[in-house]
Amino acid sequence: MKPRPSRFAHQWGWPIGLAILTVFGLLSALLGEGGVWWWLSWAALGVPLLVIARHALFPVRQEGPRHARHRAS
Amino acid sequence: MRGSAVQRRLNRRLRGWQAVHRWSSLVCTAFLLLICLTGLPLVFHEEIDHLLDPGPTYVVLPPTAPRADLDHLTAVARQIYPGRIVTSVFRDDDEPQVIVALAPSWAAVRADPKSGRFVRFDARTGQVLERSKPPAEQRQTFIDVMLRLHIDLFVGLPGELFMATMALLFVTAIVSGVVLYGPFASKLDFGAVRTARTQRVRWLDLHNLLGVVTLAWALVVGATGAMNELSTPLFALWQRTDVATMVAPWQGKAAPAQGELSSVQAAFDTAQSALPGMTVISAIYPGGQLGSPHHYLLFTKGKTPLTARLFSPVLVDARTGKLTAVVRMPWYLRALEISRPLHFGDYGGLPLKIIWALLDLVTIMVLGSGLYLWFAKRRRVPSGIRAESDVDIEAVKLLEAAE
Repeated sequence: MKPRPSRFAHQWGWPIGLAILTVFGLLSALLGEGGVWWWLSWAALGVPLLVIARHALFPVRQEGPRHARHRAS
Repeated sequence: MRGSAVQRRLNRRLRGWQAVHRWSSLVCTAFLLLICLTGLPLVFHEEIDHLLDPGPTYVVLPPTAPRADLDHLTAVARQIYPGRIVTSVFRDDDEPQVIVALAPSWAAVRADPKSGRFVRFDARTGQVLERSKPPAEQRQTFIDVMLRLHIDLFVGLPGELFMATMALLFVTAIVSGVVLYGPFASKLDFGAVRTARTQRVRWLDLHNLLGVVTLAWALVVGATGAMNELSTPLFALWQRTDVATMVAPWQGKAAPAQGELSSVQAAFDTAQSALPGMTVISAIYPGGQLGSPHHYLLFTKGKTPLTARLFSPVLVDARTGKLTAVVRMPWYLRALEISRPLHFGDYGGLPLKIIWALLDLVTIMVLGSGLYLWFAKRRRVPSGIRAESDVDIEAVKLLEAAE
C-alpha cells in the first residue's frame, strides 16, 4: 500500500516545490553565464506556467473534500 | 472544551489574516492592475523601441579599431550646442556609440529636464549619428508614457514613494494570502478547480491556484519593484554619507568652471587603470546631484552577467586629473542593483521576457479574480446583516467554501 502523504506535504508540497524551482530559475540566468544556465532558467520558470495550464484548462473532477464527508445540500 | 477553545483562537487568528489580505489587496489592486498592464509592454521595451526607431546603422569596422578621443567628441558637441555645458558622457559597451549630454547649466536642467540636449557619436569614427530634436519636435514615446505610469504616475518622487507603498501592500497581500492558503489546501487536492460548483467557488479555486503557483515570482517582482522605487532616496543617502566624506577635503574650494576641467578622456583612462577588470561606461561631470563640484564621477561595471549589474563608482579630481577614490558601494545600493534585473526580467534573452509577460498576465488574473470574489461575497451577504455578523461569516467562509 502506498503511504498517505502527511498533512503538511499535502498542503505545501506543490507550493514549496514550485517556489524552489522559481527561485532556481530566477538565479540561474543571473548567476550562470549564458548557455545552459539560460535553458535551465527557462525550463524552471516554465514549470509553474505548465502547472497552471494543466489545472486551469483541464480541471480534475473533484466535487467534494478529499476526505469523504457529506454535505447537506 | 479545550479543543474548541483552540479552534476559536485559530479562527480568530484566521480572521485577522483575512482582514489583512482583504484590505491590503483592495487598497493596492487598482494601482497593481495599472502596474501589471503597463509592465507588459515595458518587458519588451527594447524590442518595441527598436521596432519604432531602428536607430543608426554602424559602419562595419574590425573590433580592434581604435576609439575616438572623448575630448574631441565633447568639443564637437559643444560646438553643436554653443553656450551649453557638458553634463555627462556615456560610452556604450553594447553598441559602438558615445552619447554626450549637454545643458544650459546644472541648475537649469534640474529645473527643466527638457532643456537638456544630446549628441550621439560613432565611438570609433567620431561621426555624428544623431542629435536631440528641437524642443517643439520632442514627443513622449509610447514606452515613455508606459514607464511614467508604471513608475511615478507623472509626479516624480511622491509618485515613486506612493508606488513603493503599493508594492509593499502587494507583498503584504501575498504573504497573508499564503497564510490563508493553508487551511484552504488542507481540504482539497493541489490544483483542484471545482467546476461543478458555483461561479464564485470556481473563481476562488482559480484565484488560489494561480496565486500560489506564481507566489515566489510575484514576491520577488513585488519586493524588487518597491526597492527600485526607492532609488532616488537611496542614492541621495549615499551622496550625503559615503560620497560627502570622500569629497570633504575639497569643501570650500572654488569649483572648476567647464573651461578649466581636466581631460575627460584622461579621467576614463585613470578609472580604467584603477579598476583593470572593469569597463568604464560613463562620466558625470562636476556639479551634478550625484558626485561633487570638484570631481568627475565615473561608473564602471564588470563583465559577467552578474557583475555587469554591479557598478563601481570612481572619483577623479576634475582639476588635476588625479584619482581621488574608488567609492565604496553600500549594501543598500548593491541590493538596488540586484533588484533591477530581477524586476525587469531582461537578463535571460527573449524566452525569459516571454515567461515574464505570461507570469504578469497570471498576476492580472489573480488581481481580477480577487476583486471579483470580494464583489461576489458582498452581493451574497445582504448589507443589513453584514455589519453585525461580518466576522462570523468571514471566519468560516473560506473553510466552508473549501468543503
